[in-house]
Amino acid sequence: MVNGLNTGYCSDSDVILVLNKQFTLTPNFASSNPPASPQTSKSTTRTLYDLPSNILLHICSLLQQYDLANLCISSKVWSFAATSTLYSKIIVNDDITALTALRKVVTRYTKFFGTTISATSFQNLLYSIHSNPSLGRLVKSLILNVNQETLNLISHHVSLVGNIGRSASPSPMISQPSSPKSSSSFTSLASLLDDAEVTHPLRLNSLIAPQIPISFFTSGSWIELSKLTMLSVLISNYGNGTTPFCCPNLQKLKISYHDCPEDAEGLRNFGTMLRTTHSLDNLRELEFTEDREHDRVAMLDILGGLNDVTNPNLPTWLCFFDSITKGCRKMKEPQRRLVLDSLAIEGYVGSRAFECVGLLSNAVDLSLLVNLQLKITETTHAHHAHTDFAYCIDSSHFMYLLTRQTPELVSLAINPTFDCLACQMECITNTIVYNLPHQLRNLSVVFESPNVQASQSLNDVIYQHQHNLQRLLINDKATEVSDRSLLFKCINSRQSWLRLYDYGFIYERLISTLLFSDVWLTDFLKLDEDFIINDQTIQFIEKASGRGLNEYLCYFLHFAFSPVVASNFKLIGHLPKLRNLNVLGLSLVVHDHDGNQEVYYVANGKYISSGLIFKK
Amino acid sequence: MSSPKVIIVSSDDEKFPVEPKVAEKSILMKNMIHDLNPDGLTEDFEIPTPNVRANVLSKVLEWCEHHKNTVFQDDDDEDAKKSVPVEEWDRNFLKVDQEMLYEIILAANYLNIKPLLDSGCKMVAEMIKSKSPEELRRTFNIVNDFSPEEEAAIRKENEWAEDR
Repeated sequence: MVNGLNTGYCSDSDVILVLNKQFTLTPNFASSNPPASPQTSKSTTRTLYDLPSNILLHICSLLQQYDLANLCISSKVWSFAATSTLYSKIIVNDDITALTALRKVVTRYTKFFGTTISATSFQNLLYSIHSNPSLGRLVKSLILNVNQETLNLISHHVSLVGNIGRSASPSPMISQPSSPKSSSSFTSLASLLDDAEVTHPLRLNSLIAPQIPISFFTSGSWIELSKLTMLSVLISNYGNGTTPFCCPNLQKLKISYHDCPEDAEGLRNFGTMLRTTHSLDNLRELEFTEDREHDRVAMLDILGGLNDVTNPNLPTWLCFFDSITKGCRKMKEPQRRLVLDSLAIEGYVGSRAFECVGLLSNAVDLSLLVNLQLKITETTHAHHAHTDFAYCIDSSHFMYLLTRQTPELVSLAINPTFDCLACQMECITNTIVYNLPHQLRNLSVVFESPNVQASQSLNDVIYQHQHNLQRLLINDKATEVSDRSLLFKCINSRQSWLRLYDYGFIYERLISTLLFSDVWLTDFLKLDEDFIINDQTIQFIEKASGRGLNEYLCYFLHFAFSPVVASNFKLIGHLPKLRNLNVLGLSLVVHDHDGNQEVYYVANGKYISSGLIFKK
Repeated sequence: MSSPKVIIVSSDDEKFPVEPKVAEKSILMKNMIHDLNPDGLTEDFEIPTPNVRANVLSKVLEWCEHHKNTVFQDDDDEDAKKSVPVEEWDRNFLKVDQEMLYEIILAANYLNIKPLLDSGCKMVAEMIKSKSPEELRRTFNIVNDFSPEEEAAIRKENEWAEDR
């Protein structure tokens, strides 16, 4: 009876183990124990060999790459779990400085972060997989923070050795990592290889390659895309004739694009392809990010006078949605809107906010949207800098019109970058006050205040109209830099320390760009709880001042530096449900204590009180 | 008459009467209590745990007793939980010989007590950190069961991960 319930055992070998344990009650059955787990009825001695593979895997999920690599060769008992974990998530980065910085941070992380390697090592990994294809099956998640040239070079080298995966012939290098109790695990992996055509050595669940055009993966034969649940790629050169693919399980899709007509066309083709292959049926998160690396091209556009203010084209990102709606109509299919939990848009809207929202709501069921992230730019490289005031009002309308249709919205992250600061403020205020009153639980506002009064009035608006906020991130770009440096001067005005602070700041940026390509929408509000900001903040403070974070915070909280930051803290007293406040990259946790709110900070997952208490 | 107890019976037939709240730290027992007593406990309720011996069970129940009022994070917030180091009390509680540590982990796995399982696994993970393969073998008292050829092959195969 007990076994019928969910006990967390998952593989066959574990079940055998359970049976054995029960049979130990009748000594006759003791002999049926596997040799690896010697058990007798009374004087059982538990050894490592008794732990089922799910527990060994759990232990490995708490380790980092070098420990896992050592574990792999320690003994067969660890080999399977350690190898599976080591290969499960691969993060490739070309920037050696970033890699070093990242590894320093990761050593303090208590969960397997992913195996971080350089492009050269990635090439070696592909060689290993080529020699032992079963290893390729262990790779579930691949994050490529490299550019296309590097990747081309790698695939060229690897293809010289032979199209990886195509040769399933045994090579002298083959080894079989195996679990002592379930030596079948690898046999079955091998048989999987035989069954499937061995043309795709990597069968990934997650592929994150924001700098690599999708066409690179559709044309190559080394990654199978059909099992993907997460995909992040660059849309570029995606023509009509590109090999279609189908990923029915796709849940998260992040598309990087350039603001240019080619990518608009690419997005159309991509949208149509995904719709016709039913790859959007299970999609829950959709994200558009504008890649600004090609500013040069945009400059040429402007110089060539190619653009005009009354641009007849839709905003580039919107072409994706347009293709979905139009496609349905053309095929005379019933209109099926995307049902998304999360939507993130970074891009230009221009003067047709009404039309944009209309098109978007035709393609997406906005009434069910839970998380929304908007980074709306008023001017983009492909369009003229605005001279017309109506333009800016229209762009701000977009956010306003969109949030009118989102009754289920719980999380909102906005980062409008308009030239006109007054419009920006108005757009934020209207959205918070009229469209989503007391509805939001998470709010992240990045803005630029025209003056201190405006910034303070935004704080007032937030606490008056969003009573249910649990998590809040405010970043006023207008005062950020001076606030930060003032803050640091409070600690100490020594030049060398200030330099360290700057170093810390760059470091923070570096880490965030590096890591956040892997961050999905639903995670965006978790960021402030994550180790990145906190741990590295602590690290640099310790390095810079030799003092603990407590002292730093003491200055931070009690010094009256800029009025803006000071008023941010007043928010704590006004928002009864607030649990998390992030100001200047420093995140604070608010706990309720007998009706008072006490401010904590998070360090390595522990809450440490700052001693600051707000009376409700 | 005091309120009804849950009586947990170890594999070697020792009985441990505890408050329902303590037993319910185990999801397995919690479900059993609720499924078999849909109207709540009216009398003492016995649960056999044929996989767990008395010395282990008493240890596990000591943990449950200590944490009976602790609210653990939701299951779906797995990531947050994993990144938290072992709590001080748990750390001291789990300072036992390896054999007992494995017993506790297995019992926590069987009884479905996730926070205890997590703490136990974290303790084992800490034993692994920053150790060479040879040190690992000594720590866990395991033998190198790879042939020299196999070991060399694995080293070569995983060389990419040694990227520093």
